[in-house]
Amino acid sequence: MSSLSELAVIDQTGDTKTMWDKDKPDEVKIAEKTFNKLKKKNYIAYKVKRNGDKGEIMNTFDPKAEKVIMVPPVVGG
Amino acid sequence: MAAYFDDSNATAWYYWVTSSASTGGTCSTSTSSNNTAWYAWNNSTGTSTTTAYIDEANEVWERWTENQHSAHVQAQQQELARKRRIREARIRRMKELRAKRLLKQHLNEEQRAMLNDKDHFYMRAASGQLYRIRNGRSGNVDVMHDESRRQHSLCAHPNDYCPNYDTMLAQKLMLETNEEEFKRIANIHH
Repeated sequence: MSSLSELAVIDQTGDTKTMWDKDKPDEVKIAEKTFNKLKKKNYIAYKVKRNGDKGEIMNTFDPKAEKVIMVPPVVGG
Repeated sequence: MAAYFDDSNATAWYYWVTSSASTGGTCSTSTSSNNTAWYAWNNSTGTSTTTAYIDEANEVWERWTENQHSAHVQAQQQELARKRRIREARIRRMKELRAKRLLKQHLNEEQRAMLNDKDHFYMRAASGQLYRIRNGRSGNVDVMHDESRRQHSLCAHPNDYCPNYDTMLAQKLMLETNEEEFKRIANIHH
């Protein structure tokens, strides 16, 4: 049994999570849809490891990603 | 007065009304032909003065009940507002806790300990520059000479509101992966 992957979206609620199993196309599709919807809103996606190692920017959805964090566009304050 | 009792057709009520109307000290005789109790009583007991008392009493009563009602409504509104504030504070606290948990998952042990102790952590970007990210949303990224000396602060954060710990994670991720872009976007605070 494969472990679940996670898409965490940073938002007002303190993050919303979408989980998927890379072996289940339906779940992958839902996660990918969320990913693409947020990318259109200029969210930045980071592929990260669960142990907190340095992340990397992710431009297209990777169903095999262990964990993805999506952040709203960053602006100067 | 006794003569009236001898009138066989007079009802007690009619007697009272008419006697009041015709014999009352302050009544007006012009009203003696009216036989409604209210009208007779009203006229027999002092006409406009009594009416004024009644009106005034009614007004006082209405004002008092209105005041009671508005005080009650005001108390209810205050209670609702108090409960709303408590609920909002609890929700805000839960959001912060969730955001802190997510941030801690992406910190190393040393950074986690520092966050717990001091509510900030240090990170070194690919360029070798040391940054201190403090709990906050704006102007909370310090560019450091070393761990004790700050050069200046940078202000860049997600455009949507999110809890501070989420903002800190967003800042860390961007500094790790796209430091130059972060510095380009950020405003500098000296």
